[in-house]
Amino acid sequence: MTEDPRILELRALRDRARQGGGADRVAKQHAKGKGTARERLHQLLDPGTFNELEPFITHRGHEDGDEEATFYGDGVITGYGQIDGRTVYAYAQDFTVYGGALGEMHAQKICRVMDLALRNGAPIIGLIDSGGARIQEGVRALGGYAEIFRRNAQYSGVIPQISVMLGPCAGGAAYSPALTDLIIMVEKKSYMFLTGPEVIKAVTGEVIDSEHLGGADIHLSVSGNAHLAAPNEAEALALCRRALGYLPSNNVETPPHLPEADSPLRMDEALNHLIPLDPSMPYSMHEIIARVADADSFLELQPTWARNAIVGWARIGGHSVGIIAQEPSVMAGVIDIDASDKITRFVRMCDCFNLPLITFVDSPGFLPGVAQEHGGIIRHGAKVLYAYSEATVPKISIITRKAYGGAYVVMSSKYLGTDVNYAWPSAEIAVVGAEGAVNILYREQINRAADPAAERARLAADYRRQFNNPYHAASAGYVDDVIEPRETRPKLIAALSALRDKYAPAPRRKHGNIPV
Amino acid sequence: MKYTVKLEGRSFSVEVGDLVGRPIHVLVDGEPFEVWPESPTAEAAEAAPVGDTRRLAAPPAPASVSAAAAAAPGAAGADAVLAPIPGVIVSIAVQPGDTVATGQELCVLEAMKMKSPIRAPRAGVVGAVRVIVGQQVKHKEALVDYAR
Repeated sequence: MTEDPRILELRALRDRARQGGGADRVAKQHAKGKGTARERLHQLLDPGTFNELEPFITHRGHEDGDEEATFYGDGVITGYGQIDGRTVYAYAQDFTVYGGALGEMHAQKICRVMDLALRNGAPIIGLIDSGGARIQEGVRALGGYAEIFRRNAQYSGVIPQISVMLGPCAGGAAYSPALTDLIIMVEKKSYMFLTGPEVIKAVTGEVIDSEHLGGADIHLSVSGNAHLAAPNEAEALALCRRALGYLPSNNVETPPHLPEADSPLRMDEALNHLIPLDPSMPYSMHEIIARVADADSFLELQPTWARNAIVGWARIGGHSVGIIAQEPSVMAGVIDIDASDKITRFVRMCDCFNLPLITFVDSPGFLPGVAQEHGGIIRHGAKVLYAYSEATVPKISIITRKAYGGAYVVMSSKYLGTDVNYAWPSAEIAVVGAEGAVNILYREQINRAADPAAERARLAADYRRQFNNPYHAASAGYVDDVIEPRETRPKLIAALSALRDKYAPAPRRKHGNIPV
Repeated sequence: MKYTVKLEGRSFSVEVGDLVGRPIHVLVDGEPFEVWPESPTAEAAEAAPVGDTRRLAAPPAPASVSAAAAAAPGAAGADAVLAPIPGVIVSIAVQPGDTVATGQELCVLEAMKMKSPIRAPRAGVVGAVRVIVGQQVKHKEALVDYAR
């Protein structure tokens, strides 16, 4: 029997749509160590789960133009599939068609999958590889961007939005990712900037290449725009899959709970020996997190930016949680402008998606200095307060050592609404350090003393005995319990269970006015 | 030193200042520029933290000519180890000419109630120690220079 010619025609059209920009351009993409849009989607999703939508869309006006010169799909592949058996919606820009540049229909296709993702409460993932707006389409391309940005903003906090940057992403192609929850970049292959090297050279005379202007290194460690980077596309896509494993599909679902692979009762004796007796000697907070969380479960975000603060997802007894901490071995764990930004965005992301917040505190305070004050540390620090106060998810804090002044207050302190507050025996909770305190409190007494230095040292030692321990705070009810470091893991798992059904509705309002 | 540079048919009068200091100050047709020469060891911009085996955060300074106003404050001499935080130097572990390994302690900076060891971001030879014990240092002030 001969095939129905209408079916043969469909097959031919499908073939043509799958060719993207044609064999030459596909070969060029491969030569750069990059995959095509379809290859990337298949790599991202569980095998055989991708279903494409709207493959035959072409740009408007092609009816009058050269049929042979138009591309089916208009430079973006859209559809849905699964990651670890859970539905996600995704789109992948096709660099082999118009350099992935965004036109009206291209934007319409993206908006279509975003709308479906929202309606069905599933994450939306963008695989971004685009030169920006398609110049030939003029204002229609710009309007297309606006349609996407509006959805990014309106769907923020409803469904997880993840951007994987897989090529040069200029102008609007960088804005949409900036509005999403998570940006993953590929080292030496992906760039983000609003205006590229050539424009910058023409306007300011600065000469810089794409990598130093907006490569993965820059966005991971200088600008703080991106959250994760991988050495190649495959690992970037694998990171995206891993990140989704910590998140619920939407804001009314609870995060996935994994069967415990690591004993909930495990007590790590090494934790009892990690904090040096001399409070001026640093230790590694990363090690504490690794020992408390389920084995190998900590995924640190922005690991090379504002390294004095630590944020990331982990599992504790199988519960998916957000961890926030200071790193005392970097800048003594002070809170500065960048650390405030990093902590605030992360706290709010976790709160959107029902991830409990676990905060390890060891900070001597906010970073003093003219640059910080003039840079607006007041409003940046204030947003940490705002984020913790606003968050309604279960909140647990552990003061491992220093909790001084403003740093004590902003880092999930009890009366910002933290549900369970632990301190280790090494905790020091006070307004200022001992020397600073006695200089202010006992200036006259010190000056009148026969030996001012000795008097100052004696008073400082008294102050330390009184305040450089957790019991003063515990006796006043500012700490719920003082625990041995090794007990931290079982205590956290018990607290997460006890707080699982926490209900703390926020007052009705349009939205708050967080200082930004 | 004064040069005349021809580029795409245009001539520029270029005056180059001290080549040892960083940045190098250059006047192009009277307009001032700061130049940060590229160096293969540019990653040395920030000291490595304790026990941190990750790649260094600071990216290499690009070989660029940037207008004076736009020069990033952190992009100081690519071959110097800079103070990560303002504080007081409490000890110094190296001398000019010492060979250091990556992660070796160069000096200890006390700041914000913490004695933070400042470690060598890369292997090399110490050129100059720019600080003395007891000295108050500013944020990003050069502490130790590499000779190579």
